Amino acid sequence: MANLDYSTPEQTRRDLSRAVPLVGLPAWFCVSYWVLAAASFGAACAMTAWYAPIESTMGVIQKIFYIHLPSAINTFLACMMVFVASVGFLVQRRMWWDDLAAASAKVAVLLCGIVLMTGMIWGKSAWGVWWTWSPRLTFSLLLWLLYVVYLIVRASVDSEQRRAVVGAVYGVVAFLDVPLVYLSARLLTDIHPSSITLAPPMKLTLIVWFVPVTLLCGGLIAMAYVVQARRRQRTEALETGGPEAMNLSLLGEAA
Amino acid sequence: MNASEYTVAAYVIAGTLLFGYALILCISGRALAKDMAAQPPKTDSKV
Repeated sequence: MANLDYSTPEQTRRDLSRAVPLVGLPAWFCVSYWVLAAASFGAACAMTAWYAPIESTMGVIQKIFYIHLPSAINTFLACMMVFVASVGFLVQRRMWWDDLAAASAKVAVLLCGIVLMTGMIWGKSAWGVWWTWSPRLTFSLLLWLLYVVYLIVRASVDSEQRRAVVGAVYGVVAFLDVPLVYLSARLLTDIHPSSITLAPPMKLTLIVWFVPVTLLCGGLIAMAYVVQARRRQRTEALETGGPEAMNLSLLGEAA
Repeated sequence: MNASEYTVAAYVIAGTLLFGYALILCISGRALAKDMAAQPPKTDSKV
């Protein structure tokens, strides 16, 4: 049976430092990380404005693609992180897996929201409508809704143990929509393009855009994780029952 | 709005959301850390 003890501050700190590489690293690394993210974001914006050529068919609106695609890929990564953390919790019953899943879900909602908004702006300019119920758009909206509901469900459960179990099961099931989003434009008739041919400067700009978006995705998950873990610790400290509320032994034995 | 304005709007929205959320997390993380530091440590926390 896995070690279910999550009751002491020392145990919590050990779990925090193991969970995400950014946690527990010196301040200079974290500052450098965010400076690099901001600088690469600025550089990518500059490349989009002055280096990437204007596409002949769609015109300047095609440049939305450079933020749209990296955001979509990182949405998938964040959803995968929720899935992995949910499975991790169900196997090990350690609460830091649950914190990681919740943090990743928040970032997934944010990134998926960016994908939807940039896609809608593109659609308005390219297709003349803000929204159409094509398979990829519908599955993408469903993905956003699934993870919004994930966060709402978590917030509505009072017991930490039950919230973690319900969240983990939900996180595993919600991930099933990710392959549907990916495959929908390839397997079904869809107004959304499944692949776009890019000139070399466009490819380079797109590759550069992956750097800030991926750094931001990872950094936001790490920060959201730290906030989630601190909130849990504070709740634990404030509760009169204290450590008993955090002990998962009963739940583990039942499983 | 023309296509250029739509494009700029998309990047402004994306950048604001990404860095805005980072700022919110930074502020809330610091506030939580201060709040926790102000509380006395639990000595009987081991079950």
